[in-house]
Amino acid sequence: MSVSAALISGTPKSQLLGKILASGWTLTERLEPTQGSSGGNFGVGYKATKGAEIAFVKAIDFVEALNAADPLQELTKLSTIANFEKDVLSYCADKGMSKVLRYIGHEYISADGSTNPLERVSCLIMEAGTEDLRRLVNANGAASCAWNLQVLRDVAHAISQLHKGGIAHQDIKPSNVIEVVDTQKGGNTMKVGDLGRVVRRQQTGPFDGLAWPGDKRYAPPERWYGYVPPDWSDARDASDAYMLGSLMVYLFTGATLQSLVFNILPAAFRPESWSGSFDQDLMPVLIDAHSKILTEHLLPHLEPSLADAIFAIAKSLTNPDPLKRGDVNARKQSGRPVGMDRLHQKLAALVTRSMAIERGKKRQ
Amino acid sequence: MRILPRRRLIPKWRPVTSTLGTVEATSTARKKNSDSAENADELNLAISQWRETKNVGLLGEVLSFSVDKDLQEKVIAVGYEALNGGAAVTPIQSLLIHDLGKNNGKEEHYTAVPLGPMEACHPFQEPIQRLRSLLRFSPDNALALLDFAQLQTALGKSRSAERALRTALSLAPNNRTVLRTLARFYVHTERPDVAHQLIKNHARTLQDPWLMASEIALADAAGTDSFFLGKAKRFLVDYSKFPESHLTELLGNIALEELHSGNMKKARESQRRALLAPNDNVVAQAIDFQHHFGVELLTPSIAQAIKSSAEALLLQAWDAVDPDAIEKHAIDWHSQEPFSSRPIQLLSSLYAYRGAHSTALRWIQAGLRTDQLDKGLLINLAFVHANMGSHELANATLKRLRHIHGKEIESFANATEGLLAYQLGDFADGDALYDRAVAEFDRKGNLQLGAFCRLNQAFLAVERSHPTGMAIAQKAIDLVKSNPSKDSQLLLKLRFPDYATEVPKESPELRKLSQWVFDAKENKLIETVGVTSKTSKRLIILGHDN
Repeated sequence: MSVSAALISGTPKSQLLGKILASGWTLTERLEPTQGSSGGNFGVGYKATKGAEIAFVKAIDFVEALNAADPLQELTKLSTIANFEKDVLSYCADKGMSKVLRYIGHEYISADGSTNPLERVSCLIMEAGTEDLRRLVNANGAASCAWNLQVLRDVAHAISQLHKGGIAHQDIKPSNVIEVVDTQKGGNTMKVGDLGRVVRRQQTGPFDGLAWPGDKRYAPPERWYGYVPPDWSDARDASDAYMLGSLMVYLFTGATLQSLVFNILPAAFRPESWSGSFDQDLMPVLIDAHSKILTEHLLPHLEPSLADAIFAIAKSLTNPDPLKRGDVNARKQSGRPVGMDRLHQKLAALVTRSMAIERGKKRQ
Repeated sequence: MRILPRRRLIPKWRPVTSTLGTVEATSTARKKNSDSAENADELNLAISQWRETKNVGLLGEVLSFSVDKDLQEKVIAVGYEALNGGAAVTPIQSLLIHDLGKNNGKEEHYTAVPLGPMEACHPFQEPIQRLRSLLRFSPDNALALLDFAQLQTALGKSRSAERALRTALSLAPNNRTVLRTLARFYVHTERPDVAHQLIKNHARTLQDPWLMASEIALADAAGTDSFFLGKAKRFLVDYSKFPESHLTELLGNIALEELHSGNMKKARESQRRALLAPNDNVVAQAIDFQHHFGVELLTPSIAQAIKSSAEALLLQAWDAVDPDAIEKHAIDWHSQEPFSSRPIQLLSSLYAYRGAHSTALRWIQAGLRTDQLDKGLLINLAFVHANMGSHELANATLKRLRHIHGKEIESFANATEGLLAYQLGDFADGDALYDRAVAEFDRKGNLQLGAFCRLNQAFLAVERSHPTGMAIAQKAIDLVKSNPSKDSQLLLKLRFPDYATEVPKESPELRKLSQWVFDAKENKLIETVGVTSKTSKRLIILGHDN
């Protein structure tokens, strides 16, 4: 058992296996925690079934909070986080965000059937996926340019939907990209999950004040050096763009952009050593490192006839300068949006082309 | 024979990977970013998930933790576990694991003359192709443009190099490395005034000790007064606690200015401070000017800086008359600054002294590609052609030299013509030409070069069975003894090893940069900083020495 699992064992939220929620969902399997998930330290994941339907249930209780140094503060924090995630998911569902894991409902259950308030567990019910992206790249990733582009198109679509709703995800990474069965069109599609760390443009949230709300390993370069651009698009939407770019590198190479860039950054320019700001002396070094990784590591793995187009998207997504990151033309518009909708369209067009190329290759 | 121009502390133009490894590319700010420690538990979870499935996607997740230096060791161990255990690994993952295991340290080194087989491709072809490819997809990469410009300069394509450098400046107008590189380029293309104006007028110079240092050196190169010299001295007072490593070039330049003004005490003190944390440029300057400052270069920080400076190591090797070390460090220096004629002059001189004339010729030709008018290289070219028996080519080179440099090189031309005459068996004419050359060197007060010229004459006289060859040789040896030089010592070592040790070595008394005082009563060892007098001891034991 891992350390995280040991921490959560024994409290009501971890004793729900076999329980049936009021909405009819039966909790059939307790799931292992995943890295950096917002509920990793607070929630326990369950697989739930209702007839042929499958859902994911995130269970949160408040017992551990009572053992904290300041129980009231901890309880407030926990309930704020839980409510925030529920509200965001509910909002996304209301807005019809088809590429975000669907919110199904929320309810409380008593772990032991009593009315003891300490036994009450908050259950957030969401659409369940089959696998996360990390477990899928082995079978499909390196082998198929079209499959990689489909994943990127779907994730870009999800980010675009979120951005239109004034939400920046801030934690786009392989473990948060989930494959789900597309009940309408058939086959599988990719959706983005774990909205526990999002920030909202029109509404304050529990993570707004953090230096970086998401997983630090996937953060964009400006955050490595503690720089937060003043403008929302540059600070939030551009971060999502960078993480999508990193996902692209991960899909084609098996390694994240951040790990590859860190590896070639001169020692004095690594975040732990750099004493200056995110400025004139640092930026050319970051541009140099990124362009080397994209040219030497990503480019050779791209379908030659699509290489220029894919590379251009990768470059626009991973520009180390957050003020320039994103679709070049969208950035020229008023408000300087990152233009994820345009990038989604470009990726969709590339999917069509790459599938045609792959069909042609199969015929040959 | 080498005739190097006077060395100045102008900015060095190394390959970008080398420059980024030096202090001069870093920020002068003291602010430290807080360390972002990742959760080791999460890494453990990722590792256990990967071990269950051996899935490449999960291995990528494990490798993503390498951004945290505290977790890197564990990530590398799992990486090698995957490689050695035959688990599925993508080529890039494999590369990353090996790179992490090697702990980086990759530096770019190019040489104009292939060090391997002769059939190798055009010089710098591979790095230029790589840079072109990089710039095709990332035309906004200012640092790649600097490297591209350096190689273009080495190939003599100054206009292309300037275009690249100006583009780099437009992309990163405030970047110190870009500014100093463009200034260095202007000096290389004999426009020190333009270089000086660039740095002098830049808004950043007033706050940046590296740019201030450049402005002082460039003003000297341009033959004008420094605008920042006074301000720089004030800066050193106002920012007395500024990191010494960021002040080394500034202090080195002030030391030179004080030296030229005849203020030796201030010059030595500035030089002492410059050498507290010197870079490769300052330490090379210190070796070149050691006889002027008269200070020892023995502290650990100086020794460390010398190790990182191919130029300094070469100067030391030349001083130690160590041919193998000269060859190694000259090639290293050339690979760091492939556009510079200095290392090629020294290297081609060494090969010529060794009698490896065809190798010398290849290096000279590579150097002339950068600058067709380089005086030192053309002198070496004529000498090598003459030694190879290519009389027409030697004479054509001498004609060109005279046309470009006039009387300035007449003594060198006469010496080479003497060599040609000896080769034709015309000893009387040869003697007269050598005499004329030596007389001219002596007239200019360059007795060491005169002696060196006689040594060359003697070598050829003996080889060609000159009727008075042995007498000429004896006279040359005597002359070299009274006017020793490193070139003479090197030639003797390579061609007349029996006589090599007879040349007396200079052993001037040097001042120390600090002194150690041991107080036996208190059982304390204290370092007293400051340049000592010539005869001072390194260690004073209180109660014994005074």
